[in-house]
Amino acid sequence: MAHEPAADAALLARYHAGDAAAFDELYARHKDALYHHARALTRDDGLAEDLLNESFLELARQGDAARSASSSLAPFLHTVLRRRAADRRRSDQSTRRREAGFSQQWVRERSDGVDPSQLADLNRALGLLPTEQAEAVVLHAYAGLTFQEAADVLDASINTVASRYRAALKRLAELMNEGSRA
Amino acid sequence: MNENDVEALLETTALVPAPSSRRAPPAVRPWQGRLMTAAALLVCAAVLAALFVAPSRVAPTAPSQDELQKTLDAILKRLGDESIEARDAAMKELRGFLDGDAKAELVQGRLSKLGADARARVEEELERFVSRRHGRIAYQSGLELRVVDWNGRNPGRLAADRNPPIGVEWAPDFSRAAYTSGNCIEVVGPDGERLKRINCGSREPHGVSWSPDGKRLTYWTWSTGDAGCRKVWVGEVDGEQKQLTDEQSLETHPRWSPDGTWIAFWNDEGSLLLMHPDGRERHALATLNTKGVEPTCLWTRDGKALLAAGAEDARIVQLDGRERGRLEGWGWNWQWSPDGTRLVFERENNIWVVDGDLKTAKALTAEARENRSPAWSLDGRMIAFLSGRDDPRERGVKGFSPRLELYVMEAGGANPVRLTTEGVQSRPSWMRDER
Repeated sequence: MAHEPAADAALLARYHAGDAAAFDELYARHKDALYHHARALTRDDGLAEDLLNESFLELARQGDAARSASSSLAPFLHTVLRRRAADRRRSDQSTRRREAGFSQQWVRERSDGVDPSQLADLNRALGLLPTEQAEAVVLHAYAGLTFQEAADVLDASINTVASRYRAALKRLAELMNEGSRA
Repeated sequence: MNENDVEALLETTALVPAPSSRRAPPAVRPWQGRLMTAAALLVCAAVLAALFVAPSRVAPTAPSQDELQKTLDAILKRLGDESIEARDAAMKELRGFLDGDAKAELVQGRLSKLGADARARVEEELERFVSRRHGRIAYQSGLELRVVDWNGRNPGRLAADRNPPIGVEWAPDFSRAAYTSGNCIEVVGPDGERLKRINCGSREPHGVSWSPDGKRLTYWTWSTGDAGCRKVWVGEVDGEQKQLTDEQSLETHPRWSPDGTWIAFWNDEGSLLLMHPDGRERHALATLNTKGVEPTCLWTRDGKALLAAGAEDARIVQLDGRERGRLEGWGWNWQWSPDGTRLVFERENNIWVVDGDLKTAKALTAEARENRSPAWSLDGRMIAFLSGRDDPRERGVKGFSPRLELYVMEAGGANPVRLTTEGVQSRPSWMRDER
């Protein structure tokens, strides 16, 4: 979920001062949301992994740009990831690789008491969401971005992103209801 | 399970961890960071010096054609760069560069010199530039509110319901649209997301007009008590709805003035009336023959006059009641051009345009089959309209009405193109391209 922006900036500063462990900490904080954002965009687990790594390499290279772009690193990282995903889509290689491997595992329980069948339904439903809605869910519900931050990442208006998120909730409910009836 | 349940469920879950196959980041030495900071400081100092220490500041002049060409060529050159970041930055610059027709033509002229990948990206950007300028078109097909680009690309569904979406009106800032859906007014976002249902206890609320600040609506409904009565309402989009005319009235078609201080509306005797949004200072402005037709009133852009159209003529009427222009004959589905200088309307199955003083009217279409519901694009260069010209069925059956489809043509009437095949039932409405 949401991270303390000041801590992100401090970690990046430590990394630039030569502290490699600070980068590991940043990676641990943001990797899951970035990975699943990439999966939502590519529907390809292998490609998503590549994009996750490329985003962090760019963070390492452009650390100063990232710090000046925003006090939180999540918007920067997700923006980079989307750009790279768009670039991959244009290449033949990514077309060949699409759908090569894609698991239905998006989420796990964070606290006790989640019904396993409900969790399975949610995972299935998340996999069926249109890309734009899946992105809105990953960015807002899991990466902890505000609608405004998500709008900046997605190059859309705040109303558009909020609409996509609400539409995603509605669609998830429909899909899960269909799943539980089946 | 509903949306709230899903949101609650999301909060009890976390994303499955990403696989741990991270590549090592490049090692950074401490002095590198300091060096970068020092370099950034030097650049800042240079910029500040250029801004404030320069001996005299020369007023900026418009760049010459050669300078524009050089700027463009530099941008296009970077589109072939190996670095993804450089290419993306160049695309962003190209978007900023494309701020008018002349520059779009310059870019068009350079297309043949680009490689396949760069050319595809530049063509896509040119198309987006045009779409942002014209807008996209929302239209009703059956129970759906649909949307399509001006050139027929990217068709999609904005909203769907149990009732047809009729009379779509966008708020002045295009952040919301309102339309009639059964016995409610539906308010949706630019993605078709349902935001609000208004006055669902009334009978067929019609003819929505937004206040200039986009916070209030005025519209008319049939009376719930007496089927013959019609009344004008005004209300907050997010709040209370108030009936402005009394239960026994026969008053319809309200339109909000551009400055928000007046609402113009019609009564069943053909009088065009004005009142403030709280119902005060109600008075008649003009009287026309409106028997058998739905009258029209449209404010001029400056709010100093109205187009009033009835069964026998259309007039430009000033707020003091004086007439500024008149066009004989019945016209329907009027709309001002975005610059407020022309009106487009429908007459005898064809689309017409007339200047703002109603002096010179000209037919834009000349078809035997129906041409209806014209609507200006946001930049006034295109007109969307409905037409039955391509319906292959022959007339002859009583009551036959051809299937209408959505078309666009240039504002002068040239190059009409069909955009749909699914059948379109009510007036198209241009919206801002938010993509």
